[in-house]
Amino acid sequence: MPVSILYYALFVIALGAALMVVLSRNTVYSAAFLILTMLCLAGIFLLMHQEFVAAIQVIVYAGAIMVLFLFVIMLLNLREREILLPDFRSLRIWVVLLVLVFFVQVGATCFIVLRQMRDVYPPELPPDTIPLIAKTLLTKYLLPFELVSVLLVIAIIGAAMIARHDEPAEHSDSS
Amino acid sequence: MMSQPTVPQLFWVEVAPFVVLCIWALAIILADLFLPAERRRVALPLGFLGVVLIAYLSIQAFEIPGNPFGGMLTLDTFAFFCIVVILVGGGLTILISPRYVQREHIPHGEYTALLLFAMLGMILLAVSNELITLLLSLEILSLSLYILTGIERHNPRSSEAALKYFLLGAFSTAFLIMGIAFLYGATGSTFLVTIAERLPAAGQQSALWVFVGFGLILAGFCFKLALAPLHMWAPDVYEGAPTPITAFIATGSKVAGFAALWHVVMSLADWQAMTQNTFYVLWIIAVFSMVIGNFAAIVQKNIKRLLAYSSIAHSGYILITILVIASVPAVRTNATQALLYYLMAYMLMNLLAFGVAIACGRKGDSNIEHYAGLARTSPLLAAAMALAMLSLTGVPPTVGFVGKFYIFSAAIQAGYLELAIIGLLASVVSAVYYLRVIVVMYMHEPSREAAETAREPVGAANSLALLVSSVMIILLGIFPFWFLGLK
Repeated sequence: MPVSILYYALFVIALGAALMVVLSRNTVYSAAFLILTMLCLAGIFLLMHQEFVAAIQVIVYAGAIMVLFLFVIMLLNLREREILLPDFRSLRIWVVLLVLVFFVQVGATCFIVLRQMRDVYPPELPPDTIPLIAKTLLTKYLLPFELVSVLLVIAIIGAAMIARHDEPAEHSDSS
Repeated sequence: MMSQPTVPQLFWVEVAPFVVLCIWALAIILADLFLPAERRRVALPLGFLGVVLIAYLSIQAFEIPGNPFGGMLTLDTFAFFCIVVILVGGGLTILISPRYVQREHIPHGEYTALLLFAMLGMILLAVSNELITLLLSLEILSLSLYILTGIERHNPRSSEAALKYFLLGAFSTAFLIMGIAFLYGATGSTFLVTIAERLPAAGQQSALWVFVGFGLILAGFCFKLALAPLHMWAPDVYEGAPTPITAFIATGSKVAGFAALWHVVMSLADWQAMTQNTFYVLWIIAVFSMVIGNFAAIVQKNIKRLLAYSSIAHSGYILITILVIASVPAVRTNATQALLYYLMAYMLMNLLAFGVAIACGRKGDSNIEHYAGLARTSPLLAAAMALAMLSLTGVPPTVGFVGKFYIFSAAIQAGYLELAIIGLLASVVSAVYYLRVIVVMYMHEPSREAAETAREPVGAANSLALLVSSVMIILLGIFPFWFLGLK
């Protein structure tokens, strides 16, 4: 069954890329691998017939957020010696061992999940998931929908507080 | 065809506390923009007024038990008590803030608005009965606290604490989301009531996912509540955060976190597969928290770090009640009472201690040696601090004693005799460091510098907060049923 193979491939690529995000010593490479992870996730959503989530995954994460990421990394202009990542070379055996254990665990989990998924997810889903999501979001899950907006307001307040120019402490009594 | 969507029916009375609190916080931050600079300190009194208003609206909302938002929120007696505790804690936090905010040049509007947003997250946590709402409320609470921790922009310790808190908090939230995903995958619902209904029908394979999900959720909560293996962030954050915010993190977020944990545990507890053994992990966490918290506190020289480790230990005591509730249905009512009472007691004692720390702390100085001879220079503050320390130790006519009595008797009734003994021994150890603060205040000579420089006045609001919490510590300690008989 080709779909199943596609699942496996996407899972493996996503996990491998995620691992490279952590392991690569160049932050730009890390960001690039993160984009790859996001795209693979979008592919997995697509295979699950969740076209809307897949599109959002590409537009918001792989597109907007990652571009912002790359901007920040390039503006910071980190030089090689300023990169704070530890050097893994002296720990090579342990890294290999850990990675092996990790992959065995992940493989086993993937296998179980996929085998279950065959029973859980029907291959045929309603063709247009967007109205379905919209209706659920504004009826059954109305409260979480509103709470997310509160959360965003708080995040904006926090961002503004970090970004704003600090007044000198002597003058703050009158300001 | 798709069925016609139905918007859940909403009654204004039931949702008023949450809606009004949100609007109030937004109004304060908007008003702060338009007010002239010298008027901005009106934000804190306005915030206090908001808390009083919410208290009134909450009493109305809880007249009849209800389930607004299609069962996402549950307005029951348990939630009512939690909200009482949270509102008292939030009100007292606002009262102990003004001098500190003024002294450290913290922006009033943002500070008050974020405090109110954090309280919104807390009261939503106390009533939420659905996992996504629970997660979002927890994030509203946490995000507000991250910002408040780092609000002292000119203080590098504050920024360091905020960054640590934020990174580790985001990490722990990932665990929580993962756990929720597993629970959803196993049962097909995010509503705790539905999960409880569907669990008996879950097959052997689903049971595994439920266990994994519960474990991950528990790990997330362990971080948020500063329970033992995941407590490392607490001392640094408590030390670096502005002192009123430390008080708020130590009290309010724990009350809300335990309320949410109670909801999750209650939905899983009645399932056959969740035997007593499953919950032994709670036993281990409780013991670790009590032992590590109390022993690490002994060597602390900074009062905020000391209270941080003490709060880890107290989380351990409180977790005993959750363990009892989860594993022994017969003692559930008693244990829930013990939980609620101890949350109230814990909050009062800590706010009193932090209130005194604010009243006599000068800039960046919260060393215990700083309290030498406090009994001579300001006897009332020393008496208040001594009361807080005695209550935290668990000495009789205070809430601390009654709270521990309830918890340990619930543990013994449930058959966890060894846990009660470990808890008692841990309390004895805790006396070492709590009493040391009293010894320093009453037996040591004040340093010459402290005796010569006049202390800045405590301030009316802070005095009121200290008075209220002192009186409540003693009164609720003598008449515990005043609190438990509220509803």
